[in-house]
Amino acid sequence: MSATMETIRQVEEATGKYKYGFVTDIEVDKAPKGLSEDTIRLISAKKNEPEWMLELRLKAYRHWLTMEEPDWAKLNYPPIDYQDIHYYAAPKKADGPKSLDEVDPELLKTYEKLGIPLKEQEMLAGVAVDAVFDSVSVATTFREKLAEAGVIFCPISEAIQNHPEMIKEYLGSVVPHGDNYFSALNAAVFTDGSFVYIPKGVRCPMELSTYFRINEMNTGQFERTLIIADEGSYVSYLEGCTAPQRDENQLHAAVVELVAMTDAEIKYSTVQNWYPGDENGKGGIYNFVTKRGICKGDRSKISWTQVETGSAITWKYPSCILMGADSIGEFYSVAVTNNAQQADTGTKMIHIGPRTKSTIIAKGIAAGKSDSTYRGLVRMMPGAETGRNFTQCDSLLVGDQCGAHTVPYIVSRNPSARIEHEATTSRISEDQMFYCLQRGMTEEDAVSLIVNGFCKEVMKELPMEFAVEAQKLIGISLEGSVG
Amino acid sequence: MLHDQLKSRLDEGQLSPVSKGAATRFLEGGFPKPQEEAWRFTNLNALRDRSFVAMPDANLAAADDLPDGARLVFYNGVFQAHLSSDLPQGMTVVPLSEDAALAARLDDERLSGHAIANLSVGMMTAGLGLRVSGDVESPLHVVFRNDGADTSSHAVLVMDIADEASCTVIEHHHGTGDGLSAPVLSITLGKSARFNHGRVQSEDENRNHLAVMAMDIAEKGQYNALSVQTGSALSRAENRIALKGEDVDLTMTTLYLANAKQVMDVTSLVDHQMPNCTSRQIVRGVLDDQAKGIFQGKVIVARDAQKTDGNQMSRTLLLSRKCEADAKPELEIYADDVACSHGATVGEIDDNHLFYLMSRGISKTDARQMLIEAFLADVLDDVDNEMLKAPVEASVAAWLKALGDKA
Repeated sequence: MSATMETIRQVEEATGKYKYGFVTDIEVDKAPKGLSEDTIRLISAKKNEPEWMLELRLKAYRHWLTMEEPDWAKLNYPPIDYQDIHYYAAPKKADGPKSLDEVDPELLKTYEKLGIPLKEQEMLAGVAVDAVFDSVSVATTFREKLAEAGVIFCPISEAIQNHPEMIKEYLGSVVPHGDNYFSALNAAVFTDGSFVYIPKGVRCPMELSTYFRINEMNTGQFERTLIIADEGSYVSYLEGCTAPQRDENQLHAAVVELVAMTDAEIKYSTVQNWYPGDENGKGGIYNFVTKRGICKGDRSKISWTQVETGSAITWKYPSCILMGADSIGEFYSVAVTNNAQQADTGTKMIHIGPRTKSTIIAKGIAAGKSDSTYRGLVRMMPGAETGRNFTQCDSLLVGDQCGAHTVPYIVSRNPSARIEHEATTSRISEDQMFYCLQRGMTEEDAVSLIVNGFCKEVMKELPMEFAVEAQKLIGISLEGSVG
Repeated sequence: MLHDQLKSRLDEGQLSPVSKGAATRFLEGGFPKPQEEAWRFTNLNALRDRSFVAMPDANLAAADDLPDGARLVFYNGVFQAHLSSDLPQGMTVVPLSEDAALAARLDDERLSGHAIANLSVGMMTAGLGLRVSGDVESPLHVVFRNDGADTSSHAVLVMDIADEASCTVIEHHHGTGDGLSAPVLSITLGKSARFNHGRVQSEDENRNHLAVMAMDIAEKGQYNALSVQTGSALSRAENRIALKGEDVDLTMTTLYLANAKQVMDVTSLVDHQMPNCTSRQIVRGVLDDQAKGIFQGKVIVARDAQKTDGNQMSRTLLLSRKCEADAKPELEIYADDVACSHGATVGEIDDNHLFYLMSRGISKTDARQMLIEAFLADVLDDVDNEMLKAPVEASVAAWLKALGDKA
């Protein structure tokens, strides 16, 4: 019951206000509003990028100009003015900090409020944090220990300087700039993100983690993450985020690319808790993310686990291209929406190689006036001999003003492949509530308990550090949805 | 050319308001493009460039293979009074041109928003209305005969089944030549009315068949449908059903059997608008050779439709290396006190099942045949209405026999 008590405490703490809603006051060096080739040249220059990188950006930008914003998702939002956004903002520091001591104390305070003091984490959790504050990575810890193992974990801007051959080969190889509207935008203006390379046969000695944080008014976040797991290696990557409370919609269009070679395994876990907006959805984050991994080698594995509780709008489909024989793709997702939040999320599993397997477990919880949509694709190509997919999407409705939708696409071109899809929609039953209430729980605790039980299959896939946080988040997110 | 034909019909200015609107809408949009979400799996590009000609004066002198009993006969989309029989008591037919109320049903947005329905309503020359009241015991067969290369048929039938009435109607679609059949049905089921609906589509292998049905069901209405598609190079049967009263009970069983390069599409929309309704959809597909099977089923549960019980189950059996199965079962739910589920499976015959039978001395060919039969019998056994079952079973048996002969 300790987890429940913890949730109760958290709910009380939150009391209707977004826990992480505050603004850090730091001087910011930012580009003027608007997007043009000049903006892109500015970003590239600020980052000291080589000429070929600028060319890639400009190519993506020119392609983006020819594209139209997608409207197929079940989402409603006012049109985004892409000229009303700052595309570059960096904490004002001439040179990058060499150690934590050099980091602006204001920044450190921000992290403390978030509950992730770097120093403490350095000692206690054994987690290396590549903290992204707005757009520039300001501190990277545990670099040395990782370097010993041969692991490269650095801001992507640094990788462009130091490992250009890998960037040239892999950046955009999984999510090409022309893939979709938001990936093209990202490829043109991305300012930072993480780069990870795990060498052959290395099991990454610790879980890698990035805390994202959107801070400056009107700066879009365009993160770019690239993870390469070489033959026989293993890495677990954690991504979590919170954002300050504010009144203007903030655009976030990140791209994450994963490459798994023969026998390699990548586990990518996300807890997404950006500001969801007020009861009417005003001010929340727009989260348009393209995440895709490729199982390039035989017997490789990519596993996505996500807990999505934040953002006003979520548009996100972490996908796996299962190219290597016997490769495995997994997608575990919990999406909680409350008030006026809208989430359109799911996955794509593209089975190309023989004997490829995929599992999709998606749990959607909709409360308040929110809408939650699962949208997924399972495609068996002719070469996916005896490919196997199992999909389960369950939706839970809390209250009678919300909506839960399921839109799966199934395409099979190989008869030996087996595809199974199941979906159910239900609500918290009166029996379940009664049972909890007559044991002295409040309605909100009961809902939190039941919902956490509903999501158990996904929660157990999360790394320990995240599991606790995620449970709390679900409790907080559903606060005010009953009674 | 259909476009030119529609244009000249518009220009002549003799179209009814309903047809005029539909024709205008089709001329604006033309055949649906693959970019349109509802048509992403079924590509009509091949039809766009064809020069189909509709036959407003089609007349079939005689036919000796018409079903016994009460029947209505359409030939190339035109109602053939001389081939139709007298109707049982409780059923009356009326030309749509003489029944404005029935004709107005074609203006429903589920039809007016549908390109193929617009084409057929725009082309309609002698649309037919059918009114049903009281209990009609004997089944009514509606025969849609289509012949000719490059011809197109646009039969339009509007049915009104009165409160507390009951009836059984079985559609038979068959034809020859590589023309286009695009029948449009609009059905209204009154309060506590019961409707058993059978449908057999066994047109020639090179025809194109695009059917659209829109139906409203009132309080306590019971709708029970059983259909099978085996014919046409390109075939789509689309049902768009709204449950507009409480306590409606709907069961739809759909089979599709495809071989060669057939493309077969089953698309349905079941819109739960009121509380306490039940809908069950069962779809079984068997695909051989290079056939492509498509199932798109959408269930909407509106905010007021509490206590909805909506189920949808699609299973597809793949018999060859080169076939393709696409499925998109969709749920759109806005009410919380509901029990909705859908399931979809795609796969080949289970090797273990095959082994089990073969270990008992049954040849591989026979064992395979038995398992395919069992896959279909599984759902047919649950249908107790013999009037619906007989023609569907006959069509399934013919298809299976051809499959057996090939092996």
